[in-house]
Order: sequence, then structure tokens, then C-alpha cells
Amino acid sequence: MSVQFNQYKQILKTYWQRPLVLLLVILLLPFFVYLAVGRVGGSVIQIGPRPQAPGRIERVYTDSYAPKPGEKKVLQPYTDFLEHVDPQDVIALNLTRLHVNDPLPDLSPFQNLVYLKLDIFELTDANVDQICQLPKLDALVINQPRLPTGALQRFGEKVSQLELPALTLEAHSDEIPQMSNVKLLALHLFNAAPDILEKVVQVPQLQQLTLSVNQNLEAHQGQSRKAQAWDYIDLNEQQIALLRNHPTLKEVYANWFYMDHVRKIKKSAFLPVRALPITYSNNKIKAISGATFAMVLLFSIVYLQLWAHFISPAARVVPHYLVPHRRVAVGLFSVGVLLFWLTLLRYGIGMLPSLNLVLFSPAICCIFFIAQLSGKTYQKWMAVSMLISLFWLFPLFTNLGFKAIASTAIWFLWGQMPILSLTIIGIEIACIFWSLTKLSAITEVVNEIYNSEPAFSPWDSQRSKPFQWKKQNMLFFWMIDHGITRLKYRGGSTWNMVHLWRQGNTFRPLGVLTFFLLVVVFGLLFQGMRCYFTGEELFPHNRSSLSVALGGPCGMAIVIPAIIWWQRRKSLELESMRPVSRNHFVKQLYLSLALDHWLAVICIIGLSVPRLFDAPGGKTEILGMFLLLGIAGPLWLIGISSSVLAFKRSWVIVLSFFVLSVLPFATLAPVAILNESNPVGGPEDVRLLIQMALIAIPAAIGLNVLMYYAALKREWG
Amino acid sequence: MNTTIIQVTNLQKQFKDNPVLTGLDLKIEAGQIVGLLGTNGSGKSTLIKCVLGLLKPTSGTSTVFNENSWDLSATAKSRLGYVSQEFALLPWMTVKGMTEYTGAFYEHWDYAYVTQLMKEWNLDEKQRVGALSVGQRQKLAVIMALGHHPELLVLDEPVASLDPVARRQFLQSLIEFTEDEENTILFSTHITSDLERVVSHVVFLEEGKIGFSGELDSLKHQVKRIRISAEYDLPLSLNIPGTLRSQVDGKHALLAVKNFQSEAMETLAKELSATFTVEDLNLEEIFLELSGVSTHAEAEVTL
Repeated sequence: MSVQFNQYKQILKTYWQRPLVLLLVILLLPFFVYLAVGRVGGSVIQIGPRPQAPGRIERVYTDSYAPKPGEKKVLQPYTDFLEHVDPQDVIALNLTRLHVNDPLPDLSPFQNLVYLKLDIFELTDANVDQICQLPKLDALVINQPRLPTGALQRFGEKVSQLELPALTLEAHSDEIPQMSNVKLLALHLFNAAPDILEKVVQVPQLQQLTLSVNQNLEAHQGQSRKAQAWDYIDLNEQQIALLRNHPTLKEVYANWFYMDHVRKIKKSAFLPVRALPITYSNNKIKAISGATFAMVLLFSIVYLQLWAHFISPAARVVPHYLVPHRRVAVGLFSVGVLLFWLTLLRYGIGMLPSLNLVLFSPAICCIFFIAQLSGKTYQKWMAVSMLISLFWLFPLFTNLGFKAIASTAIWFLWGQMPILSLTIIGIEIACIFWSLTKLSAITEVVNEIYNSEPAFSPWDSQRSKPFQWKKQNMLFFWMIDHGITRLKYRGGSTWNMVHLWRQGNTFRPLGVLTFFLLVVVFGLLFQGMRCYFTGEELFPHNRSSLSVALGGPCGMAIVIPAIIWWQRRKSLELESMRPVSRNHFVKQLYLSLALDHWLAVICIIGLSVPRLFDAPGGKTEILGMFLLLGIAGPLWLIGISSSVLAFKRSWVIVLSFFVLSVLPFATLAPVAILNESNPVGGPEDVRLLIQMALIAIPAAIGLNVLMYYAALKREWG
Repeated sequence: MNTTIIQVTNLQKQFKDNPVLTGLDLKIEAGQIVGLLGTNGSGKSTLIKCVLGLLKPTSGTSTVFNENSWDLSATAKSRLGYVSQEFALLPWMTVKGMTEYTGAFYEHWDYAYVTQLMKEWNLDEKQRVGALSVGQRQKLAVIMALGHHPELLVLDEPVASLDPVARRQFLQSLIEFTEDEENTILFSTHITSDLERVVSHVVFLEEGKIGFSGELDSLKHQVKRIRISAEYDLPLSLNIPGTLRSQVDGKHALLAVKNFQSEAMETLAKELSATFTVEDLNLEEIFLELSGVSTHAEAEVTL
């Protein structure tokens, strides 16, 4: 027993004897901490369906408006709008009444209008006629409860997507059964009577019902009429039965908190109608993405180590060698899965779906890994295309079905589809099991094919290194050779030399490729998950969410230049003897390192642009954001990466990386917390942003100056 | 008049609490081929790195081509070639790519000469540097150091991994390198037979200082092995000046002496009624005697 125990102990020791494994563990830990203590709610996005505009919504006001001092936005009046836009080109329009007496403008020129939102208009019969005569109109949003008699019926016969206050339905309840075309109804429940559902279920073709809280609820609290507190839904048995028995209704979106936690009504009580949430937390989506990525790291740790053990000569010579190693790997993996599974349960995800999510990326990695080692080219590329299609092409082709997918995905995450969950878990475990059983056979084949020890062997690093460069991988070598051209002396100008130094960077083209792969694969994976769970489009009109999805992997990829220069540093002793003076040598290397960040900098700025356009603070905020993200951020980033040039010892470089990465967050966090606890808003926020940017830029410049002088003093030998 | 290529004055280098070089003086003139000898940890590589500006001296000065080593100009660097002990190259490049890449930094890179050397040394120019054996990589590092015809070549154990044929070729190229022009070489190695073939001068490092510095012939003339045979038992201490090692066994004694003087030996022989024979030592034996390794080894055997 003690022999076995010692054996397992020895195997466990090998895990922390491998630097790469340790590095991956260091990367893994923050994800675990984030998932274990991160916020489970808040930062909500509405997922309850509302009338959808097929494209860009033109926002037009009935009159011009002179901005007050300090206000930036100038409203676009209807007359000006018609001067520079052809009404035939407008497919989505949001009209807002500015003055009480402003009439509804003439809508007849907008013959291709599909989506119309009318803010604060009191409609007349003539207006209703005009709206109903728009040939392509299919989505209508009205926020004024008073409508002429017969208008509700006519709108209901005209459009399939309708959003309006619940009071309108109450006022014209006799017209509801004639709303024959409405499939999606989004209701604002402020001041609605409890029996409103009895009226709603009379809409004959209703498929999706969204019950939302009126945004002006706080402002109207003083009104005398007794209203149901509609920030959550409280339905009695009879009302549940009404929804359940509706012949066409499929989904009801609402805030179910009260029903879940106080009344303890199960979602299955509504079946076949699905009771879905009206909002979803961004933090929940981030947790799912984080867990998926963390599991890729965990899988890499275990599989890398297992591969190293299985490929070793000992695996073929020592009897009963494989089993204990496999057991340790499975044990570690299981512990990791258990821990991440428990963290996901915090986010209100069902037990089985949590396990699905945790096992998802390892299962995919297993299939991918086996395919890559199969030796058959078509299988390798099939695996690559499978990965891409899984996260990208599939959502792209099924873009129209996203709402349905989102509702199913949320239903699934709630644990309401246990059979499907169990099936997927079975497939995932089978994939992992299959790959584990195949691994020993694969390593045996690899050992037979190649003369020397393949890569990742922990036993003979000197022999394994040359092996990597003897492999006949044409694409790989084409890729790295492609980066070096015109190798002739072209004068000692700084830019020529910078170009030359950069050409010597190991895997420079591969670094760029890795960057893109990280951003594209994981960016699309994260965005794809968001699509599944929120019904958002893969490339939404509001690019902010896309920026967030791509920004995460981009943030991970910014370390690539530093890694590339880390690899180079060993040869820099010899290279520092090239005919360049110390000052010029350091200057050229520093500029080379800075230039290697171009891709990361462009990505950071590029991903920030959509957010900038949404900035409520106008040009000053854009300027502030640009100073912070476009100048201070990249400068600081270069300062962090220059640790590899400034310092000689590995642990000093790692420490410098860590401290300099944490420092900005540690500095800005108190400001952000203070700002959040005491929200000021408006110009004060923008002023704070500018102040932060103006402090950050000199700090980043100062850091670079310090690093530059440290590099000048560095001993290269 | 000779030109000074390397001048080191009172050089000290300390790593934390560990002094490696302790006040070292050295002068190397143009045209000299200097072999740097010393036991492991005696500071050979540290000295070379300080001379080349790869390490900053704790105190003292070091100049190369009359320029401060720590701040060598581009011109000075273009006049020197260096092969380091570790010769870390860029593994992903082909041999040809690596030489061309190195050549792109030099205004006067001799592509024809490099190609010729690669052929002579059987280096496949299409092979990846990472796939080369240690010896092949060492050859490549030497070729890259010679490609621009440096006036000063600094070699830090460049032949440790070369086979005898390659070593012979390498030494031949060094001889050619110094034949035509007045080039200078500072050459650190443990293979003393190689040094003996090519060097004109020897520098022996001992505990961070120069133990001996001078011409190889002079060193060989100074360090001798003496065998003494007497009619009676010899005293344990013979008191011969410059004794490096003394082994007395009854009527016989074996000595290694530095600064050998035949007159002094003859006087002693008469006093002891003994005869003596003087043997020449090769560089390796001299190295062992000077470093005291022979004494220690024999002491261990005796124990």
C-alpha cells in the first residue's frame, strides 16, 4: 500500500516539476478565484423578445432643439432628416414628439418601413390609417396608452410584433380577439390590473409574450390606483392554467423571482409553455465563458503531463507504468472538474448543465487532439473546420433562429432538459474516455515512427529539441521562413536595424497567427455562447458586446510579443556583439519590442471604437477614452513587456510582469469603487476619466523611461 | 611598435558575495594568439565577458581597441568576433538563413568565405539550426564569428564539442586567420593540446588573478620536472625555489619547479651527492602542475 502511495506521490511531483504546467496552473488560478467569488448577478441585459428592427433605426424628432450649455447631442428634426435621407431607404424609424402640440409627421413617404416606434404621440384615427397603410410594416412600438377606438384591432391585424402599455389592452379589451396577426406581444405592465393575463391570452395567434416592468415606475409611484407590483410576476393557479392552455403560446418572458423563491412554483407548471427570464446577467455569461476557457487550461495541464509520461521510454519498459499515471491524471482532472462545477452552481445554472459546460471544452479538445495526431491530413483539417463551424458558421447560418435557440439554451441551463443534459454528458465523457484509452496507442505509434524522442518528453530535453526541427511540416516551415526576406546589409539606420532585429524573432509570423487564432477562436467562442444564451446576433448592431467578447482573448494575446522576446533573450548575448553600440542596441531592441505590439494595440483601439461611439459624454469622453486606451494603455503594455529586455533573471522578469500588470488595476480600482458607490454621472464622470488619462500617460511614459534605462544597464552576458 | 588590442587593469568582478576576478591585469598586443587557461570557476568566461562588455566590472578598467569595454562603439564591435560557450543561436532558421541573417548586420560580410567554410566543415546549409548536433552548431557559431574577418577573435571554449577532424580544421582556419593579417585571438579552452598547436602566448588564471602571463615557449622553459637520485635518504624538504610540487621517497625525489635555474640545481646536487635529470613538460602537464591538480591527485592516492 505504501509502495503504491509513494508511486502516486512521485507521479504527482512530476506535475510541479514542469515549468509549463506551473505556468498553466498560474493562469488557471485567477479563473477559479473569479468564478468562486465573482458576482453572480447584476449587469443585466434584456433577453425577453421585443419588436426587432431589421437594420439601423433612424431617430427623428418632431422639432429642432437648441442644446443647453454643457449638452452635446443635437436632435435630428424631421424636416432636416428628410433633406438628407431618402424615405424609401428607411426601414426602421423611431419618431419622438418633442412638444405637446406636435402632430405625427406624414409617414406616407416611408413605403419600406418595417419597424416603427412612436414616442409620446397621441394618435388620431387619421394617424392610425396612415400607419396601417404602410405596406411593409411588421413591428410597432407605442408607449402612449391612449388609442382611438378600433386602433388596437387594426394594429393587431397589421403587424406580427407589437409592443405597448398593458393599459391599452385594458382600455380596448374587446378588440383583443381580433388581433389576428400578432405573434409577439411585449407588454409594459405599469398600473396594469392583476387580471391583465386573462385579456392577453385572447390574442389568437400569440407565440411569445414579454411582460416587462415599466421604466417609469418610480416616477408614477404616487398615483392612487392600486397596481400590481409588476417588477416580478405573481400568478395564481388559474392564470398559469390560462397560459398553459393557450393553443399557440410557446414562451413567456418575465421576472419569475417571486414565483421561484416565494411561491416555489416550478417552471414545469407552465409546460408546454416555457417560462423564461426577461433579463439575463452578463456576469453569468462571463462565468460560462471563463469556465470553458479554464477547462481548456486544466485539460492542457493534465494531457500535457500524461503525454509526457506516455511518450517516455519508461512507458514501454516499466511494467504497469501507464495505469497509475492515468489514474493520477484522471484524479486531478476530476478534482478540477468538481471544483469548477461547484463554482458554476453559484450562478444558478442547473447541476447537469453545469457539468455539461465544464466537460464541454475538454471533450472538444479530446476530439481535436486525437484528430491532430491521427496522421491523416483530411482528419486534421476536418477537426479544425469542426471547431470553427461549431462556434461560428453554425450560429451564422442559423442567425434567424437565435431567439428560439436562446430560449432553449436558457431552458436547458435551468436544468429543465435533463435527458438532453445526460445524453451530452455521456457523449462528453465518452470522448474523454476514448481519448484517454487511445493515448497510449498513439504514443506507441509516435515512438515507432520517429527515431528520437518526440517533443514534450521530460526525460531527454537535449534530444527532444532537435527533433522538433527535423519534422517535415511544410506549412509550419513555410510560415516561419516567410518572415525573413532580403537578408542583406541595408545600412545602419535605426529603422533598418529595427526591421532586422524583428526578423530574427523566433516564430514571429507564428506569433501573429497565434494572436489571430486566440482572438478569433476564443472571441467567436465567447460571442457564440452569448448568442446562444441571449439571442443576440453574432455581429450585433451594438458592437459593445462583440468588443467585450473579442477583448478577452485579445487581452490574453497581448503577452505574445513578450513571450517571443523571452525566447530570443538567450541568443541576445551573442547578438549584442553585433556592430551596434550599447545605446543603439538597446534603442533598437526597445523599438522592435514596441513595434511587435502593433497588432495588440490596433486590436485594443479597434475593439474600443464601438464603445467610443456609444459614449454618452460626447467628444470629451471619446478623447478621454482614447487617451486612456489608445495612448496610456499601449504605452503601459510596452513598459510591461520590456521587462524581458530590462532584466536578466527569469524570476525578476515574472515578478515585474505581475506587479506592473496588477498595478494599474490596484490603482484604478479604489477610484472605480468610489465612483460606483457614489455615482455622479455626467460631466463629473468625464472629468474624472480625463484626469485619470492625464495621470496614466505620464506614468506610462515614466515606466518606459525607467525600463529603457534599466535595459541600458543590463549585462547581456 | 606593437598595438595594444586588449588592456585590463586591476579588474575586479564580484557576483553578490562571490568575488570571481580579484584585481586582474592583462595586456594583449596585436598579432598575439593568447590561450586562456584556468581551472573551472577560475574566471575565464567572466574575464572574457568583462573584456567584451557583456558584464560590467565591479571595479577596474578594461579596454578593447582603446575603447571602454562596457561601451564599445559599432566600429569596435565590427572589428571583433566572438564565439560564446553557450552559442545560443536561432533554432528555427536554416544554416544559410542564419549566416545571411548575421551577415546582414555587417557592412563587409564575406559571403564567399562563409560558404567555403560551410563546405569545408560539412555543414548542410538547408538544415535547421535547431536540428544540428551540438558540434555542428559550434562549427556554425565559429563560422559566424569569422564571416566579417574580425581583427580580434574571442573564443570561449569553442572546440569542446567538436570531433578531432573538425578541431583540426578549426585550428587550421585559425592559423590561416592569423597568417595573412596581424589578427589577434583570445582563446579559452581546456584542450591544451590545441592551444599548444596555435597559441603564441599563454595566460594562466588562478583564483581570479593572473598566475602566469607570457609566451608559451617562455612558460615551457620556466616550468620543468626534475628527478633526483641520491646515495643517501633525501630530506623531506629540499628548499628549491619555485617548487610547485615535491614528492620525496627515500633516495628518490620528483619535483616540479617554476622558474627553473640549472645552476641552483647543480649546487644542490653536489650538496646531496645526488644526480638529477630535467624533463620538459607539455602544456597540459604544466597546467596540471600550476593548478596544483597533480599534487591533490597524488595526495589523494597516497591517502
